[in-house]
Amino acid sequence: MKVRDRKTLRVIATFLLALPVTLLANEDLSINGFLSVGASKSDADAVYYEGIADEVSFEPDTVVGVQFSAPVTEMVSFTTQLLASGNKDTYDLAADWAYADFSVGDSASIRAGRVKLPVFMASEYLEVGAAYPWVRPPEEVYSVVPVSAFSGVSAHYTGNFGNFDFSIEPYYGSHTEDIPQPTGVLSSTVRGFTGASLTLGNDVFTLRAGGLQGQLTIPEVGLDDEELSLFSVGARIDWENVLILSEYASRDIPGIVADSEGWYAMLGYRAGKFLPHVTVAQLDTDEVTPLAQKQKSTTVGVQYQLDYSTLLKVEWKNIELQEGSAGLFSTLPSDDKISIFSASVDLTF
Amino acid sequence: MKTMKLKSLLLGLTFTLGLITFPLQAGVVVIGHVSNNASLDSKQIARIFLGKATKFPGGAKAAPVDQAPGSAARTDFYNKVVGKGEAKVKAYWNQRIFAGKGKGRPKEIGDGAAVKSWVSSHPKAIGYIDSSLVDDSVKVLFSAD
Repeated sequence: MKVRDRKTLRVIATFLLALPVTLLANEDLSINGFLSVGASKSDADAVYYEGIADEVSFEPDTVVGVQFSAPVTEMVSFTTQLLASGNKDTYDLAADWAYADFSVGDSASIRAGRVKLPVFMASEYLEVGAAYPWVRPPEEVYSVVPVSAFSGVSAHYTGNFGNFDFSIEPYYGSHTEDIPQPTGVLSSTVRGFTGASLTLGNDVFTLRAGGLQGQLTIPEVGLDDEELSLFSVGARIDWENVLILSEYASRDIPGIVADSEGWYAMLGYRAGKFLPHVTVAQLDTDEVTPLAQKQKSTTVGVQYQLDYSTLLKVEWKNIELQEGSAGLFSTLPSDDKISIFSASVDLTF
Repeated sequence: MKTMKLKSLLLGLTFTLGLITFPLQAGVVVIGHVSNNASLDSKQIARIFLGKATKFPGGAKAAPVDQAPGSAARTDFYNKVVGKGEAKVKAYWNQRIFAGKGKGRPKEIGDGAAVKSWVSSHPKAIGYIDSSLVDDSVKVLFSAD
């Protein structure tokens, strides 16, 4: 899941060495952090998405991050987010994003560096457990684009008509990532990464749509500069005590990598400090490839607000594998109905 | 007198337990610098405190300030003026901040007295205090119920 791009990391490291000098001289520096400690356990004899297995494991859902943001001049600011994730064998610290933000007037800005990929509703705060009600956003949709940041430029324009606010975010860049698969590691490169995301909303309702395309190369499976395309749409209704979230994503890649389509719908209700929620989700891929991922799931969970900045979450997810596929498991489990229990403490500081 | 004591004891207990938040008797007012001539409704105030508007209706830059979490005026302000509970607002800012879109969020100042003194000396500032704290060092821009 986490992104590795050595060249970019080197550039970022250089940036980071220069950063303290800028920051120490700046009293407008803002520091924000988040911490999620999560544990999960499944009853399957195979490893699920991000390493969830039949023994209690803290690694998949444990992450700590610190974000530094400082104005450099009146118009330019610098932001970086350092992330240590239990997702790797070691809690290695990496700059998940680091970019310079150039303001163009009050309503537009351009970012350059390592920027977040704004494809889904929660893409830009995927690691921040305190920003959504689940222990982790539904993987039936979020696994469709397993990339959270890329190297390039993005622009951001916001405006409003009447009671509606909108924003437009076009972006361009490239991305390199090693994708671990049961069959071995695939080294993927996407060039000419071009896309845009559009958000429209008011106080209660938010609609987001996005699309991107690029040229994908994965030498291990014989993909050479093949066109890949993605489309996503999501809606959020936050009315009084009712919270509804729903997203759809589809991915189109030629060759052996499966085309896939995922969606989920969540209904939640805020009852004082409790937010119970139920989510149904489905992931479907085309049948022709050995990597087909087909599963349905129902998740029931509750979020409890322990104090102003701390959330406790528990959830139970019941997965039904479809048509003999292994779904998001790395190997085929012996039972096609699997339960996963997860709990987390999420805080921001 | 006795009922007042009982009431504050109950309120104290409620906040300590942190289970329910009562609407308070004393109202919360939105204040600005004495030189601020903006006329604002609750919608415009909500937009400023949610970082969706960066200016007062007249075009002057707005710099919102918050009281510390747990203050009664803060709870009151978000429920009655902004129309969203604090938990909702916190989740909203978590999303904005870590998406790198946290610009324009209110600066946290402290209690009502600290907010009043800050607003009285910062022409762009907009804050909220309990109506009992109002004096002529600040201007009341909006009053909740």
